[in-house]
Amino acid sequence: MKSQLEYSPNRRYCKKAGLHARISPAHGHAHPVRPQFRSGVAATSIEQETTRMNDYESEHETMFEGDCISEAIETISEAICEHIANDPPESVALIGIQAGGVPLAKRIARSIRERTGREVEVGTLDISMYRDDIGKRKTLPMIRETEIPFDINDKIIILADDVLQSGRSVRAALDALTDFGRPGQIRLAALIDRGGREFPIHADYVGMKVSVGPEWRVCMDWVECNGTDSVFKVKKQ
Amino acid sequence: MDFQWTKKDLLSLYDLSRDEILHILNTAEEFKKVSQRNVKKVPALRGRTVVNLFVEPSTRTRVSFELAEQRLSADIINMNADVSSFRKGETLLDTLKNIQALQADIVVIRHQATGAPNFLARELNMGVVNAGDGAHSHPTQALLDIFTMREKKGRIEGLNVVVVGDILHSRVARSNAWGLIKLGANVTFAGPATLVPREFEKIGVRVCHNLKDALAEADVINLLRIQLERQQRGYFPSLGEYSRFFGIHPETLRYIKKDALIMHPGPINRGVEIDSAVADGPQSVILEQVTNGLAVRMAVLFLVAGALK
Repeated sequence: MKSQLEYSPNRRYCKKAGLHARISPAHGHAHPVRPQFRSGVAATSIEQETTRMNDYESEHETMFEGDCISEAIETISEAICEHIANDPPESVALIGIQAGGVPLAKRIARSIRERTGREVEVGTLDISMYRDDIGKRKTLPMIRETEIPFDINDKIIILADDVLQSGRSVRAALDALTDFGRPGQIRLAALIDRGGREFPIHADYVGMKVSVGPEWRVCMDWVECNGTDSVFKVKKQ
Repeated sequence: MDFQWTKKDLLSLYDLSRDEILHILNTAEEFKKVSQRNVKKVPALRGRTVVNLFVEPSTRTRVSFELAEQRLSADIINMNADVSSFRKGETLLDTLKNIQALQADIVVIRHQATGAPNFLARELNMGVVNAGDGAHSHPTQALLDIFTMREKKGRIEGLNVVVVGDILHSRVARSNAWGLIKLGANVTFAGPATLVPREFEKIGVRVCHNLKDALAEADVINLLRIQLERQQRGYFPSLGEYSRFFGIHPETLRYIKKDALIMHPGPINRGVEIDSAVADGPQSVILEQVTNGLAVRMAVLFLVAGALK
């Protein structure tokens, strides 16, 4: 408990929580500080963030860079092109899950255009409001833009995310997307599948499969956001 | 790069940094889109309980908070001043400790006593959102005002914002000034000298007792409601005289900027601080403020819920 108190950025709260914890037996409160929010288990089941971590002090290691990532995107695009060859162009759209899925969706769209000349529309989806771990996380993720400039009803929607692990982000994305309409089909493209599913979710298009221990968090940088393409792993604290 | 919200309470814009204010406004932009969709509800606060405790009566703020909570899928308890616990003499803190013992997560409080929300925030583990305390602070109103200004003008920095009316008793004026000054706007308080003391210059606003001078360069005119019940206190001779010197009339529009926004936190006294022709005219954004208030309150509740441990 001590280390968690030290970690939390909300010092005023921690001080008070500590105080309250000490005085609570006299007051007889059953749950002065909601204990489920302090559980260490919750922290490990959170799907990794694609946003850069503020803290690089812990051990981290680059896994893939540059061309390797472009090739993985080509693998995905090729499979999608094959799959949608007989569907009319306007019936297919890509939606990137914020933040790491957005550059992926745009690059897949570019690759499809180069391969077939087809223009596939691209949208972005933020899932912060649909997460199941609000309050269980140390901090709330920043809400990014949701921009779906087309009607998703009856379309084939290909959701794109950079790293697939527990499947919880995808679960949230499915809930978010169905609030916008009723797509004909939803498929999933993931650049990296690192295993460790907690939900029965399966990607239809996978760029690379990697095997990484549960003590690692797999993250990505994109040229569009961070100036370089790289997949790296960070040891969880 | 990522800003991280860590406060379990929203008490006053005085306590917030520039970045924190901007983070709320940016978050509210995404929540505004939710209300424009077919499905206007998100599951963000599913399983959370929010208590609306309006010790001082309110209609629009309470309705706005309640709808914000519903659109976030929270469970809601509404309480007001005539709830039996207060009548029976229970203290505010005891009432809330009882609610906290029922595992409620957030309390939205309006209270006539300045500092009541701050006191509760120190004593409770629940998140506390100030919905107006005395003449002190009304942070969500100021945030929705600033949100509307930014949306309409594209910026806050360098904007000339004039707040007109009973500044002395106004939590809206103080909250506007704290937020706007942090974001780089030039704030003027205007009204009769009895209601706009020079003391306010100490917080960095310009004080002006002549409406025409005050409004000449205004990009935004935020009118406050003249509380009719204060008239007996002798702050100004009559409502008619107030309206003549400090009300906004169609003639006023001739000497202000053509693109100046006219705002009002409501409820409006038509014919006192603002004429109907102006309130319903093209420069008025009064109803857009109401729409934006919902988005801002959703954002605040979402951020506060996320900071609860």
